[in-house]
Amino acid sequence: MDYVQITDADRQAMLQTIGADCVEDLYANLTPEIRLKRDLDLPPARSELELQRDLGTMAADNHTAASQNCFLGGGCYDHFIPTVVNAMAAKGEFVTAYTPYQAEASQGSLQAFFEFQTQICRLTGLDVSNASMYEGASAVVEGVLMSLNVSGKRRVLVASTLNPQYRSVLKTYLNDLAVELIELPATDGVIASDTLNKALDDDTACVVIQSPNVFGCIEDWSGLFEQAHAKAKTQAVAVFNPIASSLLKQPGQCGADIAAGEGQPLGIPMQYGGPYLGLFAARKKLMRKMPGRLIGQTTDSQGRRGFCLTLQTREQHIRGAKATSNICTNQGLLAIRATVYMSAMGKLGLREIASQCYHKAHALVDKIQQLDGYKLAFDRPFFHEFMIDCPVSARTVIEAGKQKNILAGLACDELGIGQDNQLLIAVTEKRTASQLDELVNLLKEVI
Amino acid sequence: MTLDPKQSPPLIFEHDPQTNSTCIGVDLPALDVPTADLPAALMNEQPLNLPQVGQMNVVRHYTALAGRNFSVDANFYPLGSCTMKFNPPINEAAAAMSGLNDVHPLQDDVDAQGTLKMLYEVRTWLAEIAGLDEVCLQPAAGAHGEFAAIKVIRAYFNDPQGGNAPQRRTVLAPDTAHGTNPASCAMCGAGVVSVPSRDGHVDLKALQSMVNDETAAMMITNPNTSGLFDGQIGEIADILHEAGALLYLDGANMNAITGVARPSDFGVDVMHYNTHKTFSTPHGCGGPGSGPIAVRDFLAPYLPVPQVIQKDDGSYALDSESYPKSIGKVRSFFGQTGILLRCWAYIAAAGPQGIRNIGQTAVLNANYLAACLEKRFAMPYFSTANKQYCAHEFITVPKDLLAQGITLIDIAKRMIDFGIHPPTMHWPVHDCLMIEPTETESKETLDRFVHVMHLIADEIEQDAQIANQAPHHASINRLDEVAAARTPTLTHLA
Repeated sequence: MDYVQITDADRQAMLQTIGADCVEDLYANLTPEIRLKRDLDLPPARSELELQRDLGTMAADNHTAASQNCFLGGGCYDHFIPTVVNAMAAKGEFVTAYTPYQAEASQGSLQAFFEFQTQICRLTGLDVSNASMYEGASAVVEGVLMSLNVSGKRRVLVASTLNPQYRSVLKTYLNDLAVELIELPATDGVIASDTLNKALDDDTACVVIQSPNVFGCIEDWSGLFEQAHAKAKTQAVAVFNPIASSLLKQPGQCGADIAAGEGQPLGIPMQYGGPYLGLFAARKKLMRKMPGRLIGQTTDSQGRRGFCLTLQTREQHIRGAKATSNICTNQGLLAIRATVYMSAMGKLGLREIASQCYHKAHALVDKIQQLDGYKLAFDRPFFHEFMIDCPVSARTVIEAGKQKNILAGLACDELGIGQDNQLLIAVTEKRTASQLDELVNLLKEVI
Repeated sequence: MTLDPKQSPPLIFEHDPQTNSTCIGVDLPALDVPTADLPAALMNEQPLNLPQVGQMNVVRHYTALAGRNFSVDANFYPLGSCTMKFNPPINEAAAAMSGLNDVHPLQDDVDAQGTLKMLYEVRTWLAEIAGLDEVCLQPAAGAHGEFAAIKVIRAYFNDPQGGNAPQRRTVLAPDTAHGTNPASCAMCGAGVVSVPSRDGHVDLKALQSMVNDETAAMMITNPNTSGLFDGQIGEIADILHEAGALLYLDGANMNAITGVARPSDFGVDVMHYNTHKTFSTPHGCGGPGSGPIAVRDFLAPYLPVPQVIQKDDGSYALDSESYPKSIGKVRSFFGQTGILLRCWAYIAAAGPQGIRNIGQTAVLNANYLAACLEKRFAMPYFSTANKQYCAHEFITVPKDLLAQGITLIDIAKRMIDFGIHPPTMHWPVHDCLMIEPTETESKETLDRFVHVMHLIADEIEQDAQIANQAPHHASINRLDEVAAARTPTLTHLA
């Protein structure tokens, strides 16, 4: 099924109007030698019924997190997604619309994005948010590029406690530019004030600190960011988790100039890595240097409130090589999804979710700490993710878990953030007390 | 209380005028573990200032907003360069299946065999459609694919065992290129030089004089942004290849040639796809898209990792270790998997003949519209009399109408009154409308569009005021975009 509705009779009539004998004539500029003279080597067409069968087989070949007791994190988290979020995000009027260039024909998405921007500002404690980036890592990169552009400085300090995938993406983006990227080593699971102090100098554009960090530990954003501002007028980039920001101190409260993060926890399925949602907010003074789409409020010819894309002279379709970013297509539908999620959960629901994540993770740690041979790798405040030292290899625990439909955690050596006996465990509001006990029993049994 | 139907709905924040509302939109199970200490120093004492409204009001609110959008599901959407084709519901249903949706990106390969097989097939199919050797699925959008591909080209030239020409740091692009082309180069630290066009095509003489031993590549869109297949493409490729540079295809306009011609056969070394254009993954009010890149074998070692592979035992896996020369990652995790799944379902449904029919019908529909409109809407590059045809889209510069005291925007806004989304405006040339019907529209819809365009033209000749003040029947009157930019209000402050 190719979803074409033109019939043979239509085709003949249309060719007649055009004055061409056949469709091939319309490709006059395609010289014969570059035309494909055979069918593409693709599987034969499938009817919808066959497609449904094949999709069913494909799904059956996955052993999903949903069918298991999932403690995986590392930048993607297994949160509850209310049905109302799926229902609103599935509306064809949102799914099949384009970027709202024509404001009068796009008030629905524009208003939803305006609400999204407002919600993200309130979530981060910052002044302006854009209408989404690709995902967490590229949002962080854009924050770093913005601070380089604004400051004219050439050094970037990045915490080694930043998610290693994000560090890797940052390296890819910066390695052809005349920029020095310096990793700040961790002390006992976090970035120490001394470490930052030694690394800061007048040419330091920004410092990037994730909290909760890759080990799940809460970093001292306030202290570190104050130091960065005071010593070298260095901009503070906070890499945040939106669920944590519903309970813990927000980037803006801690002095961040830019907040970037992964919006997947806000009602977005894990779907093997994407599409996700890059969150990006900043102080007002940076507004005109922001990457991505911005939606502004305005009025129509009768003075009614309405919304439109604004400050477009920052963007690639107007500014070309001098644009603040090359981003064009963003993650609009995921931004709408997150907006509905935050609206449906509300301030009370979001705080409840964050609290349950916190309490359940801590209840699990209390039980693990009582097991012989296990201990928390870093004795520090954490949110909903933590690293433990095991008496056996993390891989042993993970493989044993598979026998019981438990996704026990991530092996820290495989992630490149620890030793082979270290396991990274994330706990969301979805886990029940008995599921926590299942993991505790597993840990007990593998010794 | 207002009865004005064009008044926009209250913001979600305004549904909750009482800051102390406790109306729950979604409930949760009670906490079933003991509470832990919440250290005051780490906490935000106040709950966030987010709305707190009941679930039905959430549904009504976003349903009301949905009703204020044009969409492919509800409207003809001939937005040039964007390929607003039908998005089959089966593809959305596929992406919503728990078995495909609920896989964590760091689950072991053995747990994700269904998804990995699908990704491997997409990789293979996109290579075949391009006629190129390797595909990387990681980039999140077209511009992201451009960035990744330019990085790959630079890594190749920087490699002493590869292109071994580190001085090749300049990228050429036609003056009609998408804005993302130069912007993506700039993000890679590559210089961009604009190549002039003549009669809608690249000026070959100018190109010849601009290519030198610092040229890494030329980025070209073909069919180009004027809606024309550039018949000189073979010569362009030769000029670049003889000078030791590469030819990059911006795949934005692949919908015109799928199954009809393969980029490798007209000299392309590297390209990106926009699955949200060519392969019907929905546009979602601006995204998500996905921008896979396809390359010749000599560029494959530099592609982003991980790559999805099939192992000797027939199982599927992610592989980073076999690519020591990779440029690294351009985003976290694998890529836009849920989007690639829709792309898979679309190609699987169409099959080889369907993929060709898509390209051919896209071109037929565009030429039919152009032929029906050419008498009233001047077209610089289309003429049935001269058998001068367009590809899958065409531009009109409606000079006669613009002489009647209206602007291009007036025509566009008047189209909204007829339930038609306006075409792309002022691009690639000033005062043009760029019209792309796509292959999925019926002749009936195309005929209605022609009728509406003639009606608007008649109307402008009789009374320009109607268009001047359009739209009249949209969900809101014309908006003041200048004021929005002069004093930006980007958040609701209350």
